Amino acid sequence: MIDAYLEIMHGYLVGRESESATADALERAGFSPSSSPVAPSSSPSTFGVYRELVTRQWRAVLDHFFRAARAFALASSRTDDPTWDELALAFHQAHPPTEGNPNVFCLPFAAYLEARGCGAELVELADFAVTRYRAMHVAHGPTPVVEADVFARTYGFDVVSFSRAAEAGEAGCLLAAVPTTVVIGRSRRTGALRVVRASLGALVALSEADGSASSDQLPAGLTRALVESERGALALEGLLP
Amino acid sequence: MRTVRGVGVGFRREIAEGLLTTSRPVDWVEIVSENFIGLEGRPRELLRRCADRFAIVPHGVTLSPATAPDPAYLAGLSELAARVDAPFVSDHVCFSRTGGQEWLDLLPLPFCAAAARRVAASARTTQEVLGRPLLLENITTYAVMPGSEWDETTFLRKILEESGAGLLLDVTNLYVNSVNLAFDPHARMEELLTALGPCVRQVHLSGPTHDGQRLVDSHASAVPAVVLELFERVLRACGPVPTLVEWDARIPAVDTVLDEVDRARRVWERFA
Repeated sequence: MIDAYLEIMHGYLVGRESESATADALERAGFSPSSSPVAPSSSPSTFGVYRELVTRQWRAVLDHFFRAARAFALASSRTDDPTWDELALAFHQAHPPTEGNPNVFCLPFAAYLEARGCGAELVELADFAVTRYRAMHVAHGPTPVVEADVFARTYGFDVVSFSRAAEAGEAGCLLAAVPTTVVIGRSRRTGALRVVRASLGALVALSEADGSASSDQLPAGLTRALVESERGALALEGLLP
Repeated sequence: MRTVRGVGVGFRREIAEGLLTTSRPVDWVEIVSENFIGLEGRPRELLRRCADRFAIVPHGVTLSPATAPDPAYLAGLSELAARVDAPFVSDHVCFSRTGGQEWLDLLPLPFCAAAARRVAASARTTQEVLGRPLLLENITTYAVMPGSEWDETTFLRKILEESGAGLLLDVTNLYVNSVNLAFDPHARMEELLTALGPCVRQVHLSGPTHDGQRLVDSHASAVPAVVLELFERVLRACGPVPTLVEWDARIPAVDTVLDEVDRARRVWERFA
Protein backbone atom coordinates (compact mmCIF):
# COMPACT_ATOMS: atom_id res chain seq x y z
CA MET A 1 0.00 0.00 0.00
CA ILE A 2 2.81 2.41 0.79
CA ASP A 3 4.16 1.84 -2.71
CA ALA A 4 0.94 3.32 -4.09
CA TYR A 5 1.47 6.37 -1.91
CA LEU A 6 5.04 6.79 -3.16
CA GLU A 7 4.02 6.35 -6.78
CA ILE A 8 1.27 8.94 -6.51
CA MET A 9 3.58 11.37 -4.74
CA HIS A 10 6.20 10.79 -7.43
CA GLY A 11 3.73 11.92 -10.09
CA TYR A 12 3.03 15.02 -8.06
CA LEU A 13 6.66 15.85 -7.31
CA VAL A 14 7.79 15.52 -10.92
CA GLY A 15 4.97 17.88 -11.91
CA ARG A 16 2.93 15.32 -13.79
CA GLU A 17 -0.12 15.70 -11.57
CA SER A 18 -1.70 18.70 -9.91
CA GLU A 19 -2.09 18.95 -6.19
CA SER A 20 -5.85 18.35 -6.34
CA ALA A 21 -5.48 15.38 -8.70
CA THR A 22 -2.85 13.99 -6.33
CA ALA A 23 -5.15 14.42 -3.36
CA ASP A 24 -7.90 12.59 -5.28
CA ALA A 25 -5.54 9.79 -6.29
CA LEU A 26 -4.35 9.40 -2.71
CA GLU A 27 -7.93 9.18 -1.49
CA ARG A 28 -8.82 6.57 -4.12
CA ALA A 29 -5.78 4.56 -2.98
CA GLY A 30 -7.06 4.64 0.58
CA PHE A 31 -5.11 7.64 1.87
CA SER A 32 -8.04 9.68 3.00
CA PRO A 33 -7.51 13.16 4.42
CA SER A 34 -10.42 12.58 6.80
CA SER A 35 -8.63 9.68 8.44
CA SER A 36 -6.15 12.01 10.10
CA PRO A 37 -6.88 12.46 13.80
CA VAL A 38 -4.40 15.28 14.25
CA ALA A 39 -3.23 18.70 13.08
CA PRO A 40 -6.33 20.89 13.23
CA SER A 41 -4.72 23.59 11.12
CA SER A 42 -3.66 21.34 8.28
CA SER A 43 -5.82 20.73 5.27
CA PRO A 44 -5.52 18.16 2.50
CA SER A 45 -4.11 20.82 0.23
CA THR A 46 -1.18 21.81 2.40
CA PHE A 47 1.11 19.11 1.06
CA GLY A 48 1.28 21.32 -2.02
CA VAL A 49 4.23 23.04 -0.42
CA TYR A 50 6.44 20.05 -1.12
CA ARG A 51 6.84 20.58 -4.85
CA GLU A 52 8.07 24.07 -4.09
CA LEU A 53 10.41 22.77 -1.40
CA VAL A 54 12.03 20.04 -3.50
CA THR A 55 12.48 22.48 -6.35
CA ARG A 56 14.11 24.91 -3.96
CA GLN A 57 16.45 22.14 -2.79
CA TRP A 58 17.84 21.07 -6.15
CA ARG A 59 17.95 24.62 -7.40
CA ALA A 60 20.01 25.63 -4.39
CA VAL A 61 22.46 22.81 -5.14
CA LEU A 62 22.76 23.70 -8.83
CA ASP A 63 22.94 27.46 -8.26
CA HIS A 64 25.65 27.07 -5.64
CA PHE A 65 27.70 24.60 -7.65
CA PHE A 66 27.59 26.88 -10.71
CA ARG A 67 27.75 30.29 -9.04
CA ALA A 68 29.91 31.80 -11.78
CA ALA A 69 27.92 30.33 -14.68
CA ARG A 70 24.72 31.51 -13.07
CA ALA A 71 26.12 35.01 -12.52
CA PHE A 72 27.12 35.15 -16.17
CA ALA A 73 23.73 33.88 -17.39
CA LEU A 74 21.84 36.33 -15.22
CA ALA A 75 23.96 39.22 -16.47
CA SER A 76 23.75 38.16 -20.10
CA SER A 77 21.07 40.12 -21.88
CA ARG A 78 20.78 38.23 -25.17
CA THR A 79 17.07 37.73 -25.45
CA ASP A 80 17.26 34.67 -27.69
CA ASP A 81 19.17 32.67 -25.05
CA PRO A 82 17.26 30.51 -22.61
CA THR A 83 17.25 31.97 -19.12
CA TRP A 84 19.15 30.36 -16.26
CA ASP A 85 15.81 29.24 -14.78
CA GLU A 86 14.85 27.57 -18.06
CA LEU A 87 18.21 25.85 -18.37
CA ALA A 88 18.12 24.63 -14.78
CA LEU A 89 14.61 23.23 -15.12
CA ALA A 90 15.32 21.53 -18.44
CA PHE A 91 18.53 20.02 -17.05
CA HIS A 92 16.72 18.70 -13.98
CA GLN A 93 14.10 17.10 -16.18
CA ALA A 94 16.73 15.53 -18.43
CA HIS A 95 19.11 14.50 -15.64
CA PRO A 96 17.20 14.16 -12.35
CA PRO A 97 19.32 13.37 -9.29
CA THR A 98 19.77 9.65 -8.82
CA GLU A 99 22.45 9.63 -6.12
CA GLY A 100 22.39 10.79 -2.55
CA ASN A 101 25.33 13.13 -2.94
CA PRO A 102 23.67 16.21 -4.45
CA ASN A 103 26.87 17.39 -6.13
CA VAL A 104 26.86 14.32 -8.36
CA PHE A 105 23.63 15.63 -9.88
CA CYS A 106 25.56 18.69 -11.12
CA LEU A 107 28.34 16.88 -12.93
CA PRO A 108 26.66 16.40 -16.36
CA PHE A 109 25.59 20.06 -16.53
CA ALA A 110 28.49 21.39 -18.62
CA ALA A 111 28.09 18.62 -21.19
CA TYR A 112 24.35 19.25 -21.19
CA LEU A 113 24.83 22.95 -21.92
CA GLU A 114 27.24 22.14 -24.72
CA ALA A 115 24.85 19.60 -26.24
CA ARG A 116 22.11 22.23 -26.15
CA GLY A 117 24.29 24.61 -28.12
CA CYS A 118 24.64 27.15 -25.34
CA GLY A 119 27.29 29.83 -25.67
CA ALA A 120 30.92 28.90 -25.12
CA GLU A 121 31.14 31.30 -22.18
CA LEU A 122 28.49 29.43 -20.23
CA VAL A 123 29.81 26.00 -21.21
CA GLU A 124 33.35 26.90 -20.18
CA LEU A 125 32.29 28.39 -16.84
CA ALA A 126 30.29 25.25 -16.09
CA ASP A 127 33.14 23.01 -17.15
CA PHE A 128 35.54 24.90 -14.90
CA ALA A 129 33.24 24.29 -11.91
CA VAL A 130 32.82 20.61 -12.73
CA THR A 131 36.54 20.11 -13.29
CA ARG A 132 37.46 21.70 -9.97
CA TYR A 133 34.98 19.40 -8.21
CA ARG A 134 36.39 16.34 -9.95
CA ALA A 135 39.93 17.34 -9.06
CA MET A 136 39.07 17.52 -5.37
CA HIS A 137 37.29 14.17 -5.24
CA VAL A 138 39.72 11.68 -6.71
CA ALA A 139 42.52 9.68 -5.19
CA HIS A 140 46.11 10.32 -6.18
CA GLY A 141 48.02 7.45 -7.70
CA PRO A 142 51.82 7.30 -7.51
CA THR A 143 52.03 9.24 -10.76
CA PRO A 144 49.53 11.78 -12.08
CA VAL A 145 47.07 10.75 -14.74
CA VAL A 146 45.72 13.53 -16.90
CA GLU A 147 41.91 13.59 -16.94
CA ALA A 148 41.84 11.31 -13.88
CA ASP A 149 43.43 13.25 -11.04
CA VAL A 150 44.91 16.28 -12.76
CA PHE A 151 43.20 18.19 -15.53
CA ALA A 152 44.45 20.43 -18.31
CA ARG A 153 42.01 22.80 -19.96
CA THR A 154 42.24 25.45 -22.63
CA TYR A 155 39.34 27.87 -22.50
CA GLY A 156 38.50 30.64 -24.94
CA PHE A 157 37.68 32.96 -22.06
CA ASP A 158 39.32 33.86 -18.78
CA VAL A 159 37.00 31.70 -16.71
CA VAL A 160 39.50 31.64 -13.84
CA SER A 161 39.35 35.36 -13.09
CA PHE A 162 35.62 35.58 -13.72
CA SER A 163 34.84 32.60 -11.49
CA ARG A 164 37.03 33.89 -8.69
CA ALA A 165 35.28 37.26 -8.76
CA ALA A 166 31.75 35.91 -9.20
CA GLU A 167 32.17 33.31 -6.47
CA ALA A 168 33.43 36.02 -4.14
CA GLY A 169 30.18 37.85 -4.79
CA GLU A 170 31.69 40.72 -6.73
CA ALA A 171 29.15 42.55 -8.85
CA GLY A 172 29.65 43.54 -12.47
CA CYS A 173 32.34 40.98 -13.32
CA LEU A 174 33.31 40.82 -16.97
CA LEU A 175 34.28 37.63 -18.75
CA ALA A 176 37.24 38.54 -20.92
CA ALA A 177 37.70 36.80 -24.27
CA VAL A 178 41.25 35.84 -23.37
CA PRO A 179 42.36 32.29 -24.21
CA THR A 180 43.35 30.66 -20.94
CA THR A 181 45.17 27.37 -20.40
CA VAL A 182 45.12 25.95 -16.88
CA VAL A 183 46.14 22.87 -14.97
CA ILE A 184 43.66 21.98 -12.26
CA GLY A 185 44.32 19.51 -9.48
CA ARG A 186 44.45 18.78 -5.78
CA SER A 187 47.85 19.48 -4.35
CA ARG A 188 49.73 16.32 -3.43
CA ARG A 189 51.41 18.29 -0.67
CA THR A 190 48.62 20.32 0.95
CA GLY A 191 45.41 18.73 -0.33
CA ALA A 192 44.20 22.15 -1.47
CA LEU A 193 42.77 22.92 -4.90
CA ARG A 194 45.36 24.33 -7.27
CA VAL A 195 44.52 26.13 -10.51
CA VAL A 196 47.69 27.07 -12.34
CA ARG A 197 47.88 29.00 -15.59
CA ALA A 198 49.95 26.77 -17.79
CA SER A 199 52.36 27.27 -20.65
CA LEU A 200 53.07 24.75 -23.38
CA GLY A 201 56.11 23.67 -21.38
CA ALA A 202 53.91 22.84 -18.39
CA LEU A 203 51.56 20.78 -20.55
CA VAL A 204 54.51 18.86 -21.95
CA ALA A 205 55.86 18.25 -18.44
CA LEU A 206 52.46 16.97 -17.40
CA SER A 207 52.15 14.68 -20.43
CA GLU A 208 55.60 13.28 -19.82
CA ALA A 209 54.83 12.63 -16.16
CA ASP A 210 51.66 10.77 -17.04
CA GLY A 211 53.47 8.80 -19.73
CA SER A 212 51.37 10.06 -22.61
CA ALA A 213 54.24 11.98 -24.23
CA SER A 214 57.76 10.96 -24.96
CA SER A 215 60.60 12.99 -23.49
CA ASP A 216 62.61 12.42 -26.69
CA GLN A 217 60.76 14.91 -28.82
CA LEU A 218 59.75 18.41 -27.81
CA PRO A 219 57.43 20.73 -29.72
CA ALA A 220 59.17 23.38 -31.73
CA GLY A 221 60.32 26.30 -29.65
CA LEU A 222 60.57 24.39 -26.40
CA THR A 223 63.81 23.44 -24.72
CA ARG A 224 64.43 20.68 -22.24
CA ALA A 225 65.47 23.29 -19.69
CA LEU A 226 62.15 25.08 -20.05
CA VAL A 227 60.15 21.86 -19.64
CA GLU A 228 62.17 20.97 -16.54
CA SER A 229 61.58 24.43 -15.14
CA GLU A 230 57.83 24.02 -15.66
CA ARG A 231 57.96 20.55 -14.13
CA GLY A 232 59.56 22.06 -11.04
CA ALA A 233 56.89 24.75 -10.85
CA LEU A 234 54.09 22.16 -11.07
CA ALA A 235 55.81 20.08 -8.39
CA LEU A 236 55.98 23.12 -6.12
CA GLU A 237 52.21 23.50 -6.56
CA GLY A 238 51.81 19.85 -5.63
CA LEU A 239 50.42 18.99 -9.06
CA LEU A 240 53.31 16.66 -9.85
CA PRO A 241 55.10 14.34 -7.42
CA MET B 1 34.59 1.71 19.26
CA ARG B 2 34.71 5.31 20.45
CA THR B 3 32.11 6.54 22.88
CA VAL B 4 29.73 9.28 21.90
CA ARG B 5 29.00 11.39 24.95
CA GLY B 6 28.31 15.03 25.67
CA VAL B 7 27.51 17.73 23.15
CA GLY B 8 28.90 17.44 19.64
CA VAL B 9 28.66 19.47 16.50
CA GLY B 10 27.91 18.88 12.85
CA PHE B 11 31.18 18.54 10.93
CA ARG B 12 30.72 20.74 7.88
CA ARG B 13 33.20 21.74 5.19
CA GLU B 14 32.96 25.45 6.06
CA ILE B 15 34.16 24.92 9.62
CA ALA B 16 36.14 21.70 9.16
CA GLU B 17 39.58 23.25 9.53
CA GLY B 18 38.42 25.25 12.53
CA LEU B 19 37.07 22.16 14.27
CA LEU B 20 40.19 20.16 13.49
CA THR B 21 42.45 22.80 15.00
CA THR B 22 40.42 24.39 17.78
CA SER B 23 41.52 24.10 21.38
CA ARG B 24 37.91 24.42 22.54
CA PRO B 25 36.05 21.30 23.65
CA VAL B 26 34.24 19.32 20.96
CA ASP B 27 32.86 16.13 22.45
CA TRP B 28 32.07 14.36 19.16
CA VAL B 29 30.99 15.11 15.62
CA GLU B 30 28.35 14.03 13.17
CA ILE B 31 29.12 13.83 9.46
CA VAL B 32 26.58 13.80 6.63
CA SER B 33 27.06 10.28 5.27
CA GLU B 34 26.41 11.26 1.65
CA ASN B 35 29.28 13.75 1.72
CA PHE B 36 31.74 10.90 2.28
CA ILE B 37 30.33 7.66 0.88
CA GLY B 38 32.46 6.46 -2.01
CA LEU B 39 34.44 9.68 -2.30
CA GLU B 40 38.19 9.96 -2.45
CA GLY B 41 40.37 13.05 -2.40
CA ARG B 42 39.55 15.83 0.00
CA PRO B 43 36.57 14.11 1.70
CA ARG B 44 38.67 11.04 2.44
CA GLU B 45 41.51 13.15 3.81
CA LEU B 46 39.14 15.19 5.98
CA LEU B 47 37.55 12.02 7.28
CA ARG B 48 40.93 10.59 8.26
CA ARG B 49 41.88 13.74 10.15
CA CYS B 50 38.46 13.94 11.74
CA ALA B 51 38.59 10.32 12.91
CA ASP B 52 42.02 10.93 14.42
CA ARG B 53 40.50 13.52 16.70
CA PHE B 54 36.81 12.82 17.26
CA ALA B 55 34.24 10.10 17.74
CA ILE B 56 32.14 10.22 14.56
CA VAL B 57 28.53 9.36 13.85
CA PRO B 58 27.42 9.15 10.18
CA HIS B 59 24.06 10.87 9.80
CA GLY B 60 22.38 10.17 6.47
CA VAL B 61 19.72 11.96 4.47
CA THR B 62 19.00 9.45 1.69
CA LEU B 63 18.30 6.12 3.37
CA SER B 64 14.66 6.80 2.45
CA PRO B 65 13.37 4.00 4.66
CA ALA B 66 9.89 4.17 3.18
CA THR B 67 11.41 3.08 -0.13
CA ALA B 68 13.08 -0.30 -0.52
CA PRO B 69 16.65 0.08 0.78
CA ASP B 70 19.21 0.67 -1.96
CA PRO B 71 21.83 -2.11 -1.64
CA ALA B 72 24.58 0.07 -3.12
CA TYR B 73 23.85 2.83 -0.65
CA LEU B 74 23.80 0.40 2.25
CA ALA B 75 27.13 -1.05 1.13
CA GLY B 76 28.66 2.42 0.99
CA LEU B 77 27.21 3.36 4.35
CA SER B 78 28.48 0.12 5.86
CA GLU B 79 31.99 0.85 4.59
CA LEU B 80 31.83 4.39 5.94
CA ALA B 81 30.55 3.30 9.36
CA ALA B 82 33.31 0.71 9.60
CA ARG B 83 35.95 3.22 8.49
CA VAL B 84 35.09 5.63 11.29
CA ASP B 85 34.21 2.86 13.76
CA ALA B 86 30.81 4.44 14.31
CA PRO B 87 28.92 3.39 17.43
CA PHE B 88 25.69 3.88 15.50
CA VAL B 89 24.35 5.59 12.39
CA SER B 90 21.26 7.69 11.92
CA ASP B 91 18.77 8.84 9.29
CA HIS B 92 15.19 10.08 9.08
CA VAL B 93 11.62 8.77 9.15
CA CYS B 94 10.67 9.91 5.68
CA PHE B 95 10.96 9.20 2.00
CA SER B 96 13.51 10.98 -0.12
CA ARG B 97 13.54 8.81 -3.24
CA THR B 98 10.76 7.73 -5.60
CA GLY B 99 10.99 6.03 -8.96
CA GLY B 100 14.79 6.01 -8.77
CA GLN B 101 14.89 9.79 -8.37
CA GLU B 102 16.45 11.49 -5.37
CA TRP B 103 14.53 14.50 -4.10
CA LEU B 104 17.37 15.86 -1.96
CA ASP B 105 14.79 16.54 0.73
CA LEU B 106 13.10 14.74 3.61
CA LEU B 107 9.50 14.15 2.58
CA PRO B 108 6.67 13.16 4.89
CA LEU B 109 4.80 9.89 5.17
CA PRO B 110 1.25 9.29 6.27
CA PHE B 111 1.23 8.24 9.91
CA CYS B 112 -0.25 4.83 9.17
CA ALA B 113 0.44 1.13 9.70
CA ALA B 114 1.61 0.49 6.13
CA ALA B 115 4.23 3.24 6.31
CA ALA B 116 5.33 2.17 9.79
CA ARG B 117 5.80 -1.44 8.64
CA ARG B 118 7.87 -0.38 5.64
CA VAL B 119 10.09 1.99 7.62
CA ALA B 120 10.57 -0.63 10.33
CA ALA B 121 11.49 -3.29 7.78
CA SER B 122 14.03 -0.96 6.15
CA ALA B 123 15.47 -0.11 9.56
CA ARG B 124 15.88 -3.80 10.39
CA THR B 125 17.59 -4.43 7.06
CA THR B 126 19.89 -1.47 7.60
CA GLN B 127 20.91 -2.66 11.05
CA GLU B 128 21.55 -6.19 9.76
CA VAL B 129 23.70 -4.98 6.88
CA LEU B 130 25.65 -2.50 9.00
CA GLY B 131 25.89 -4.62 12.12
CA ARG B 132 25.34 -1.42 14.07
CA PRO B 133 22.36 0.29 15.67
CA LEU B 134 20.31 2.72 13.61
CA LEU B 135 18.67 5.79 15.07
CA LEU B 136 15.71 7.31 13.27
CA GLU B 137 14.94 11.01 13.46
CA ASN B 138 11.58 12.76 13.55
CA ILE B 139 11.38 15.23 10.65
CA THR B 140 9.75 18.58 10.11
CA THR B 141 6.43 18.33 8.33
CA TYR B 142 4.46 21.17 6.80
CA ALA B 143 1.35 19.02 6.44
CA VAL B 144 -0.09 15.91 7.99
CA MET B 145 -0.32 13.71 4.96
CA PRO B 146 -3.58 12.12 3.79
CA GLY B 147 -3.96 8.61 5.13
CA SER B 148 -2.62 9.41 8.59
CA GLU B 149 -4.37 7.11 11.06
CA TRP B 150 -2.31 8.06 14.08
CA ASP B 151 -0.54 11.00 15.61
CA GLU B 152 3.20 11.23 15.03
CA THR B 153 4.11 9.86 18.47
CA THR B 154 2.14 6.68 17.85
CA PHE B 155 3.63 6.39 14.37
CA LEU B 156 7.17 6.66 15.73
CA ARG B 157 6.42 4.23 18.56
CA LYS B 158 5.17 1.59 16.12
CA ILE B 159 8.31 1.96 13.97
CA LEU B 160 10.69 1.78 16.90
CA GLU B 161 8.87 -1.21 18.44
CA GLU B 162 8.88 -3.14 15.17
CA SER B 163 12.46 -2.33 14.22
CA GLY B 164 14.41 -2.07 17.44
CA ALA B 165 15.88 1.20 16.17
CA GLY B 166 16.49 4.07 18.57
CA LEU B 167 15.05 7.56 18.38
CA LEU B 168 17.13 10.54 17.37
CA LEU B 169 14.90 13.21 18.83
CA ASP B 170 15.24 16.46 16.92
CA VAL B 171 13.89 18.96 19.41
CA THR B 172 13.94 21.79 16.89
CA ASN B 173 11.89 19.75 14.44
CA LEU B 174 9.22 19.20 17.07
CA TYR B 175 9.21 22.93 17.79
CA VAL B 176 9.06 23.87 14.07
CA ASN B 177 6.13 21.50 13.58
CA SER B 178 4.36 22.99 16.58
CA VAL B 179 4.54 26.45 15.00
CA ASN B 180 3.52 25.37 11.50
CA LEU B 181 0.83 22.90 12.54
CA ALA B 182 -0.36 24.92 15.55
CA PHE B 183 0.08 22.64 18.54
CA ASP B 184 1.60 23.11 21.98
CA PRO B 185 5.24 21.94 21.81
CA HIS B 186 5.50 21.40 25.55
CA ALA B 187 2.40 19.20 25.67
CA ARG B 188 3.58 17.28 22.60
CA MET B 189 6.99 16.78 24.14
CA GLU B 190 5.43 15.42 27.35
CA GLU B 191 3.37 13.01 25.28
CA LEU B 192 6.38 11.93 23.26
CA LEU B 193 8.61 11.44 26.29
CA THR B 194 5.93 9.41 28.06
CA ALA B 195 5.60 7.10 25.07
CA LEU B 196 9.16 7.09 23.76
CA GLY B 197 11.47 8.38 26.49
CA PRO B 198 13.37 5.09 26.84
CA CYS B 199 13.97 5.00 23.07
CA VAL B 200 15.70 8.39 22.90
CA ARG B 201 19.39 7.73 22.10
CA GLN B 202 20.43 11.12 20.78
CA VAL B 203 19.17 14.68 20.47
CA HIS B 204 19.51 17.25 17.69
CA LEU B 205 19.39 20.99 18.28
CA SER B 206 19.48 23.72 15.64
CA GLY B 207 18.09 27.11 14.76
CA PRO B 208 15.17 27.53 12.33
CA THR B 209 14.33 30.60 10.26
CA HIS B 210 11.05 32.05 9.02
CA ASP B 211 10.60 32.34 5.25
CA GLY B 212 7.59 34.62 5.49
CA GLN B 213 5.09 31.81 5.23
CA ARG B 214 6.33 29.20 7.64
CA LEU B 215 9.07 28.35 10.08
CA VAL B 216 11.72 26.39 8.20
CA ASP B 217 14.11 23.83 9.62
CA SER B 218 17.03 25.64 8.03
CA HIS B 219 19.80 25.01 10.58
CA ALA B 220 20.77 28.60 9.87
CA SER B 221 20.63 30.35 13.24
CA ALA B 222 21.24 30.03 16.96
CA VAL B 223 19.14 27.55 18.94
CA PRO B 224 16.00 29.37 20.16
CA ALA B 225 15.44 29.62 23.90
CA VAL B 226 12.22 27.63 23.70
CA VAL B 227 14.12 24.76 22.08
CA LEU B 228 16.62 24.80 24.93
CA GLU B 229 13.69 24.66 27.38
CA LEU B 230 12.34 21.61 25.57
CA PHE B 231 15.86 20.13 25.50
CA GLU B 232 16.09 20.50 29.26
CA ARG B 233 12.83 18.61 29.59
CA VAL B 234 14.24 15.80 27.44
CA LEU B 235 17.34 15.53 29.61
CA ARG B 236 15.24 15.48 32.75
CA ALA B 237 13.27 12.55 31.36
CA CYS B 238 16.00 10.65 29.51
CA GLY B 239 19.22 11.57 31.26
CA PRO B 240 22.34 12.92 29.53
CA VAL B 241 21.83 11.50 26.05
CA PRO B 242 24.39 12.50 23.41
CA THR B 243 23.39 15.80 21.89
CA LEU B 244 24.40 17.48 18.68
CA VAL B 245 24.20 21.09 17.51
CA GLU B 246 23.62 21.39 13.75
CA TRP B 247 24.45 24.49 11.73
CA ASP B 248 24.16 23.91 7.97
CA ALA B 249 23.32 27.18 6.28
CA ARG B 250 24.73 30.67 6.66
CA ILE B 251 27.40 29.00 8.78
CA PRO B 252 29.23 31.54 10.93
CA ALA B 253 32.80 31.39 12.23
CA VAL B 254 33.65 28.20 14.05
CA ASP B 255 33.81 30.00 17.40
CA THR B 256 30.22 31.18 17.00
CA VAL B 257 29.12 27.62 16.29
CA LEU B 258 31.09 26.39 19.30
CA ASP B 259 29.46 29.10 21.43
CA GLU B 260 26.16 27.37 20.62
CA VAL B 261 27.67 24.03 21.54
CA ASP B 262 28.82 25.49 24.87
CA ARG B 263 25.34 26.90 25.45
CA ALA B 264 23.81 23.47 24.96
CA ARG B 265 26.55 21.85 27.03
CA ARG B 266 25.78 24.09 30.00
CA VAL B 267 22.25 22.66 30.00
CA TRP B 268 23.47 19.11 29.33
CA GLU B 269 25.99 19.19 32.21
CA ARG B 270 23.25 19.83 34.74
CA PHE B 271 22.03 16.30 34.03
CA ALA B 272 25.37 14.56 33.50
